[in-house]
Amino acid sequence: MGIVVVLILFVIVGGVLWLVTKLLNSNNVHKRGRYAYTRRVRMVFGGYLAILIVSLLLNTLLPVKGLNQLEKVDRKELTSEGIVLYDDALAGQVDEKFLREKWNFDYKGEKLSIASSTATYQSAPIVVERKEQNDGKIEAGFYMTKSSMNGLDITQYVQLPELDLIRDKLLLSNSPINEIRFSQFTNVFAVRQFTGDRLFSHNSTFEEGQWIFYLKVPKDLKLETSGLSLQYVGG
Amino acid sequence: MMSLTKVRLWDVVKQQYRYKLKGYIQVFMSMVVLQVLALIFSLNGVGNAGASGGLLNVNTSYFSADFVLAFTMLWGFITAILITTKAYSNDDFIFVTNRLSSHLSNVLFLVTASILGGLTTILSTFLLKVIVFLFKSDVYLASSADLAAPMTLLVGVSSASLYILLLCSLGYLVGTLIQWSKLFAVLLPAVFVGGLLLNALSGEAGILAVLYAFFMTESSFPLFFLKVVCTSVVLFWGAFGLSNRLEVRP
Repeated sequence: MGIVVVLILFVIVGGVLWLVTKLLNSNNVHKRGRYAYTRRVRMVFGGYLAILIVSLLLNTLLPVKGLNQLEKVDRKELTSEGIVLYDDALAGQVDEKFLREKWNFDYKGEKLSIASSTATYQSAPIVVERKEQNDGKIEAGFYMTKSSMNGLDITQYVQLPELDLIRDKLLLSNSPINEIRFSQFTNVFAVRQFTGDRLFSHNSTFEEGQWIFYLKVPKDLKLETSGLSLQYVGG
Repeated sequence: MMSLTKVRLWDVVKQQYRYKLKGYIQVFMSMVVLQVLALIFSLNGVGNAGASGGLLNVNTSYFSADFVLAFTMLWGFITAILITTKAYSNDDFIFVTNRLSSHLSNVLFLVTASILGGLTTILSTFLLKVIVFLFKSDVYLASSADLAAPMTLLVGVSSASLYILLLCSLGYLVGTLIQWSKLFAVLLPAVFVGGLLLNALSGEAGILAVLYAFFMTESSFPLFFLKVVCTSVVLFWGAFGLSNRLEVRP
């Protein structure tokens, strides 16, 4: 592995050396038309410098997407919120402030199968509360506490799951897939060594919020699952 | 031929320096080309990190001008070697000159080149940001690097310039060694690459690790400044000393 790195380094360094030498030698000072070339170099360098300065100005003017809207969150608070959400749900007192999505279905059948179309929800925490009457209605909710990336609230980027009632089957799916891509700028290493940041490695902290599906089903509805685990309120 | 005019050293150095700024201007063309190339390489990010929870998959790309600085340091190294070659050093004889004035004007030119290299390297961070903001649709995470604080810019330009100057002084010594004996043109790369391979094979920390620890882990800017300036002075001084052993130009 070490040798491969050295060889790659050697190829890159060699390539750069070759390029610089070629560029410098192809425009030797002794070449005819030197003054015209000098002017050309000045124009290219001046143009490049101008672009860099304009970029600096644009940086202070451009509204950066995502950068300013993200709020800071307390990681300890997030962890305790997650525990509270889960315990409250099992006690049948789920806090509505964590509700992200809600579904209502009319269902007259005696049996209901709950399934997932993706592996994502195979280990999904599904909490079921039986109502006190058979009202023929299924109420479902997706609850989730805040998620954070480097101490910033990224909950707004979480794609919500989908829930559909297809005949006698309640199907969980996640469309679109929850793949979030972040970009972060770091100072050049010549600055990082004085700011206490890591020199050539990067550190990110990601915490996913606690999430559960909470179902309220008619009193006598029989539930079946294929691979999913159900937890009952008060059970 | 004898000259009746008494020429002061500093005047000659200034004249030669001015001449070199115009005469060696092509080196800045190669710097621009290299920095643009490094910026293109940087568009994919200098690092990636992925994490997955039960529900979410996150991927973070890190962007910085690390490649630009590394390429510019290499450029400084090559530029310093090239100005020690006969094709360049013979230009000095346009003026009434001696080796000292020639060296001093070369050092001044390399210091200027290092400052320009450091300045453009740090400014290129902002060009990289604009390109990524405009053409990538990711979510941006705030970091201290987003603040164009004057102090950070000043430290950035200074330290980047010092790194380039360090490589320039090393290149100047290497170039002078090669002028002294062409054998070094083969010997030095062989020793360098061979040493790297041997270190990689044995798993030992080599000279690069020592240099890394000495310069790059220094967290105090004044100390870093002292280290780089002292090392550069020693390297330039070594080149001066060696060149005195070179044959006099016919």
